[in-house]
Amino acid sequence: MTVHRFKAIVIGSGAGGAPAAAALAETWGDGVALLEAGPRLGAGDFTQIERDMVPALYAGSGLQATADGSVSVLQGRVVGGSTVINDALCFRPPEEIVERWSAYGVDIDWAELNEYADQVEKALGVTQMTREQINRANYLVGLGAAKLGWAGERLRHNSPTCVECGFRHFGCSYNAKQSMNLTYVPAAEAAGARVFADTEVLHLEQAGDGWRVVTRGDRFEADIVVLAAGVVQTPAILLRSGIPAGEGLQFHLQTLTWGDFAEPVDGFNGIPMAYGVLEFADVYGKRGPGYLIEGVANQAMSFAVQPQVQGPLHEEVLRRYRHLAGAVMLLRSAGRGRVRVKDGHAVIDYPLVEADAVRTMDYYRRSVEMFLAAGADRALVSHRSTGWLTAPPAELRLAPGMQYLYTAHPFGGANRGTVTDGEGRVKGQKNLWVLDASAFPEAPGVNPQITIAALSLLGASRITDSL
Amino acid sequence: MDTATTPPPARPAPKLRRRDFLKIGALGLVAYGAAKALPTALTDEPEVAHAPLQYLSNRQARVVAEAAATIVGPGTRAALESGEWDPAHDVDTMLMRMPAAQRRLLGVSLHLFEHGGWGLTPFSRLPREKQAQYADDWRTSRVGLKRSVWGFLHAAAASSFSSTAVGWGMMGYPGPTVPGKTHSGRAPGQTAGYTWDERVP
Repeated sequence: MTVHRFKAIVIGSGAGGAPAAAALAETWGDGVALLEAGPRLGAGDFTQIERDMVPALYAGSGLQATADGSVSVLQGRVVGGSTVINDALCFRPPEEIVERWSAYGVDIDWAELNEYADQVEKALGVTQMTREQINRANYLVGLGAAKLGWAGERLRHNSPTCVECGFRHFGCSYNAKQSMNLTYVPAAEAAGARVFADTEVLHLEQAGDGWRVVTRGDRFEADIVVLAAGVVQTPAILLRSGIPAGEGLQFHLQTLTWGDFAEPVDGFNGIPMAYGVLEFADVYGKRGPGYLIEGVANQAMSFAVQPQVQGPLHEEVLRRYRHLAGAVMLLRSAGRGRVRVKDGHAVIDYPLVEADAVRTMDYYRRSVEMFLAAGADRALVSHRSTGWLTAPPAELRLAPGMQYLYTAHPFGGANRGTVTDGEGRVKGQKNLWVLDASAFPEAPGVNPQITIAALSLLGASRITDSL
Repeated sequence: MDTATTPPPARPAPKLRRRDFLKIGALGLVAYGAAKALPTALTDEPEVAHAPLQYLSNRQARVVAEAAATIVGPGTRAALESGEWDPAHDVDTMLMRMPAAQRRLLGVSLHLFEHGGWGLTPFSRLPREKQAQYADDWRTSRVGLKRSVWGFLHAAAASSFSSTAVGWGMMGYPGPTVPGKTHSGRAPGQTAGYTWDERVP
């Protein structure tokens, strides 16, 4: 068995791992390794065939979910991590996280974090989408919100040369989306770091003041290990290594609504998520119930699984596909779950709590109201109790499995203030850090890639400063 | 001395311990399931030819196919019968990617769905209108397990159908922009025009 020896090993190549690897390689060059459980793929591999791309790019072949099956948990498992399959949306770190995180004993220097966010945005080529880049599906979300007097805006993204093909969830076939596989991973390599794809880490073993990283194949050793394997796998690796972790799991809960318009909307063309409604957020100075509404348009397969209807109504919904504009809730959940390990595999537990149910119901009502205001003839929510709606729904029974819930933004499980200190060092361990969203003690309430990457750079600077 | 024999004190009735109760309950369930499966096992029709399946039995494949058509809609029956849509094959491929424990769980789920009604006729042999009612009962059931099974079948059926040429045709979906073996690729960019209302920021 080959043993690779490095100064620092970063586990995970997404928004947390790749920037850390690039920053550490600036100091230690070829003394840095970046390990990724998934394969290394490029534009030529991204065929846009959903049934092939989902198992190739997503954790658990796209089937990862909570133990009770009530929430799908979508994460990338490829070099570049979830940034390869995300919607490329870029939000500044909300200032509110500084206040909220301080309750957990985590003190973030707001000005310093913003400096790193500036660096990340520059590296990823972040721009605000122009009016011309907003497709009709997303525009209708903006129109409904504007008619109701709700705050909204064209969103920012890291795809400055986007050709608007609509397939961001399956890897960018045009090398336009500036995901980690095209930015910080090559930057790390340019500085000397080595990338090991298809290298799944099982657990860590202490070796003096350093660490032995046990994978399914080769063995690795390093003075410093940075865990950034994502919110499910980072706590699972800690647990398999005998280090307490896994509690404090939080989601941005997501569910969907569609407006049915007389004229074709053809949301599959253009940028899938481009317009955001901030009226109900609890960040950026807003005092709402804590959710964003974002326009969303999906390709055929991703769309077909979302409406929770069956039979003739399901068929009718499919036949109306070209006429539907979609919206998604992004709710900072009140519930807290956990990651545990059973027979070596990560298991995700998450309870749907009353506060989440109440706010999800609020979202269903508001989003239906929004589409009707935009001129939709009727609307549909991703819930099993209703069909087409011509008015906001009355009370719906919210229970596990009654509504289609998913999350592309899990947080926690190796929380700062609990598992790690305020800067990301794992408590009680030497030279072991967590620099991904699993260290977030509270969800940010917005699409998180910029916040994760900025905190990763901040953490990497603390690592090099400390040695 | 009174030599009359006195009856021994009455022995307390044997307690049914929780473990025994569970054993009896489980045996009952097995017997009930077997009894329900028997009539169909004895009268099974010759199986329809399918592409070779790795994990699903032919009977499970039939359950998947019937459930899929019931859930996605009656307009999909023709594609199912012509072989243009093969949801069982797609579910079989999905099972291949799952850990063994998850595969077993789904096997049990399919069995429950097939035999979980009150009558003796399994789901896949019910008349179509009764299949629809049966599946709808699972969709909105008060029992979480039933809702989960419907959720799996729905996701499997809808993703399978919407990946076929017939599904794309029904949805009016033009497919990828990147050319592939079965499609030429369309030009990227927006096609549905509109005029921006200045009230929209």
